Amino acid sequence: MLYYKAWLETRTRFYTAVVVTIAVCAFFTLAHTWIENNWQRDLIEHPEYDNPAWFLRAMRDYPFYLYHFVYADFFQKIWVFLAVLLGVGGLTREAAHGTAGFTLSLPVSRSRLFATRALVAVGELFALAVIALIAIVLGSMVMHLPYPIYHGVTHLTILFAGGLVFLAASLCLTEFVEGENTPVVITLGGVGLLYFVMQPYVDGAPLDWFAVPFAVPKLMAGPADITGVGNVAWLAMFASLAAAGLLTAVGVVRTRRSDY
Amino acid sequence: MEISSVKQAYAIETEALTKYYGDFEAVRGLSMRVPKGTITGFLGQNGAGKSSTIRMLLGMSRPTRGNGRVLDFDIADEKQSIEMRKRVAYVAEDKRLYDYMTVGQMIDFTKVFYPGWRTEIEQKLLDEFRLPLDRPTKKLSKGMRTQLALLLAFARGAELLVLDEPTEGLDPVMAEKLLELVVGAAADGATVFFSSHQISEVEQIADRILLIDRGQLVLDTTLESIATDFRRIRGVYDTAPKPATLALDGVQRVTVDGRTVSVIVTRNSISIAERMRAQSASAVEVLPMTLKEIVLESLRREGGSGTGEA
Amino acid sequence: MQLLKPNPASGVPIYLQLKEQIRHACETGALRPGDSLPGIRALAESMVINPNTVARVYRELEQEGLLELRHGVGAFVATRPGTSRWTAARSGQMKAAQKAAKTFVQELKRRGIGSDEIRRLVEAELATHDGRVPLVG
Repeated sequence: MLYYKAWLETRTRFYTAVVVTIAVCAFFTLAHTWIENNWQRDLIEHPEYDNPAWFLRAMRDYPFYLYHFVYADFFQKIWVFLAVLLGVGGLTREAAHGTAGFTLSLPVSRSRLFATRALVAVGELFALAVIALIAIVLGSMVMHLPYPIYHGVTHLTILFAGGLVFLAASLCLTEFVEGENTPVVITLGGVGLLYFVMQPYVDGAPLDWFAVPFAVPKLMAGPADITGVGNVAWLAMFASLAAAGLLTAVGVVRTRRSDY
Repeated sequence: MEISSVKQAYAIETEALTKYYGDFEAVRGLSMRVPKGTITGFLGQNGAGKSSTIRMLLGMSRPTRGNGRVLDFDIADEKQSIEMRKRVAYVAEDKRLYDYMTVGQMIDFTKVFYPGWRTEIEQKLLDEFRLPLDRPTKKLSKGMRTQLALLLAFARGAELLVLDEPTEGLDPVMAEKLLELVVGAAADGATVFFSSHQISEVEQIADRILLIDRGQLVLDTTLESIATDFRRIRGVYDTAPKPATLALDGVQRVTVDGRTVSVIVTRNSISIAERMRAQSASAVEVLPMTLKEIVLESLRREGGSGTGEA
Repeated sequence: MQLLKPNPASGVPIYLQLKEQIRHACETGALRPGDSLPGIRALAESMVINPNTVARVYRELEQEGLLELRHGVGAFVATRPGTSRWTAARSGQMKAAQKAAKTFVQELKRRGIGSDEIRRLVEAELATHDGRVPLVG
């Protein structure tokens, strides 16, 4: 029943996330031709415009186009926001709502309360990844744009793994910060800062040593050229999952030791 | 066996229970025992430590020192606390419920956790309160929310009911209904532990009262003792007696006001009155005290030459 | 059968009030020998008082011979021959007591003592005598 509660609690957020996901993925696939035509026109009419390297490649390489706009940039940021959104909840938030007394008087351990909430959130994030894949594949098919499925699967797996880190951060932080919306604001503020700092690296600059632990955004973009499933930075991925695990553990400890 | 039967006679037992919030000592060395099958009123001013105590008993916060047992389960052990909570119904002062659930969902959600759930009580209260099953809780009026909270508590078939200011914000009809439910649960064998500001309610249904002031227990007695033993004795003296001469067994406070001496006693009123007459006091009257008077008297900080005996 | 809700703040313990009411009902004939009384739970709920209090009242009245508690069935007004004598004697006593009270109040009022003062005097006297009043019958 705790799963049911966690589901009902996050249901509206999840549905919103689904709509956003489908909208963004659909846009970039369905609008591809339109975007392409605009670019062509710009090339001819405005030779003075800057043409960065990715631009020329995106025009002729559809998977790369998706890589740039969806997996590496625009959708990735939205993805992170959605992951954070799904992780908000927990006893500290319930205390602000006035229901902590009811929940805590139930005969369940605090670990179980946290775990069910976390599992539902992970499940929802996974569902979003699958929905994104389906939307991209279907959108591409509708537009007759050939798209190798392994490309989408690999990238979305990477996005899912990276998203887990932000989800864990959200799950953890909401146990520390009181109030309804404050945890969301703080997490997003932190994430925004992270992206701001990491942007140059994502755009191609080589990683400085001090940026490595924060390189999740670059990680989530994945390699620009995926030829097969093996072509992924596995070590870095496991490190991210470990980070997610650590954040989750901190959240569990916090909720177990708090006084309400 | 003698010892174990005594041990199981108490629904709640604490020993020197203490809670610090930072530097502030909210609960100080509280030692109390609530016998099973009784209705106990837990009285005290705001901030006296009632809610802090209840939170420790139910495992919501951890005691700084001391220990406690509820239904014979150790409150500081999480596993035992969980076992205990299967048999306990708690209604917080707030009575707020999950606003993303409907009435029906709240009931379906809650009943799963309680093996002793009483469907007949659930049905009876649903019919009586006429709660619409598919209405979201956030759309319920305050009165209906309270009714739902009460339904969720009383249908649990709990051995112990812990109610924190249960009639707070309730209209008189609902308040009386709640007391009726409490009495019904007690008749079924449940122990009821409720904190309240409404002294009249406590007088109406409680067997015992516990009065807490600034984190400490100042009064632990039965309503019967109050009716039969607690007295206010007044006498008129020509010359005021020395307080020491009235420091007898049972005297709680001696107040001198001009030539009138007032003595609050918790027992032995007859012999104390005789002593006063022996001291040549005239017009010695022995008067009963209401619970309200006793509570106010016990909470007085300034005061005459109190002997300090409780 | 009409039983009034006891008043917790009247200075008289609730259980005494309830006992008095039941006795009174027996004396006035509202309750006759053989009549059943509500179960402990039902009475506690309808009056919204502690069930232990009701249980105690029933027990004490059974000891005094006024009620009969039949296990598993409920409480009944006793039908034993002694009871009728008991209630009859008690009715007689009550009549005499009413007469004495009337005389007492009239006398004090004649002396200019007000109702509140009379009440206080009586309560003070009762409080002093608590525990020493012999049980009737």
